[in-house]
Amino acid sequence: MSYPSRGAKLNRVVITGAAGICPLGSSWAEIKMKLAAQENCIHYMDAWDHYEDMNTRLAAPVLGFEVPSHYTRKRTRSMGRVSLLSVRATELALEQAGLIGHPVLTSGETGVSYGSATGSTDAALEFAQLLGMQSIKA
Amino acid sequence: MMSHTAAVNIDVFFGLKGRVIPTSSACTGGSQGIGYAYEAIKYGKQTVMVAGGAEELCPTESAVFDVLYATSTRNDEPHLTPRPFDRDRDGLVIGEGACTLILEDYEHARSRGAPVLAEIVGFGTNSDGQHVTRPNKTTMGGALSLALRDAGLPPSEIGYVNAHGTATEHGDIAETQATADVIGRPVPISSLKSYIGHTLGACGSLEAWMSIQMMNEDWYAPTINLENVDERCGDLEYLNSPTSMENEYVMTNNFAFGGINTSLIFKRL
Repeated sequence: MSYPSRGAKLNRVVITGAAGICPLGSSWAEIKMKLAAQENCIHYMDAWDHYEDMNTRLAAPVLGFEVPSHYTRKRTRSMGRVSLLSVRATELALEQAGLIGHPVLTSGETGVSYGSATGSTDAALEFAQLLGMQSIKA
Repeated sequence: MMSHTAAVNIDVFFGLKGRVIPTSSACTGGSQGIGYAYEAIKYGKQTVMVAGGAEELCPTESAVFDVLYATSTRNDEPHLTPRPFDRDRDGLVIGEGACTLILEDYEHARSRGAPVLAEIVGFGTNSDGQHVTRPNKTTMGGALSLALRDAGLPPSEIGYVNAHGTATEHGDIAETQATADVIGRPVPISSLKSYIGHTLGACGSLEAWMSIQMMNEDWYAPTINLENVDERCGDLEYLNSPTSMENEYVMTNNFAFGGINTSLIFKRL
């Protein structure tokens, strides 16, 4: 594998694809329609009623997110929900950019810069048991 | 069980073999994701970068803010909260989501005839270095100034600011005062968190994407549930109805626990 040599010039950076999945929807057309309606997507979380020490019951979940059928178990077994959302948003963005299957993705010239605050807490909970913190699961 | 789970799962799924920059910086995870990706291409380290952030909903995320009395407890009126910049706001609401931007070297994009949504022309990031949860308007403004300097733009060129706007008292006041100080005029501003809550690691990229779309369509969403601007907020034009305007540059700002500040500037092409 060879990398292109580069001088000191600064490159211009453009955005050639973008996609998101959020409580308003998973396409800009859907999202804009709801923005224009000026209504929020905040829900009362019945499932949180048993957290007696927490005051808020409000959240904005993504409803109806489905993992595409071509995401096989083998390819997704390392993924929690945050990674599934991330990978699907990335796939849609790469499609828009016309880069699905493009050799630049696997040549070493394409990287990833991505973050989440919390990751997948289900996985952390399994290890919490390992540490003997059974009370967390109660 | 890995703080870089989103980044590496994207990397593995698509077979990427370049650098991995995990930006697990709470509420600036998405904006730093974009900013550091922009710098990787700008300085010739990569040709394409997959950039953004994500969050999955978990009650622990709300609990973190709840113990600080920073969550909204209008539990019987979900349609009326959160209320960024409003004098009657009572805190934030946690959301979830993911958003990815594909960043590309302009010459590479042009050579393959790729569609171009916008250009990233400025990124600034710094830290307060003072307190984990209390925002500092001076260093917040410093991030905005760094982005303007990176873009080589005077503040007068910024036509719209997409605010972090979480609907917490200290955050709203510090952010808007910082914005007013740096931009130097009542620039149009709104917060998309009034619709989808605070999506933590996803918000920086979701708000960047939606701001680019609004810029390209000359249409801007207002802050909803904003009825009376808190008089302690900075002197800005708080959009309270859908607004049509043409802008060449928009700015999106995000601020995180840990005192991390980011500012991105996008140019219409």
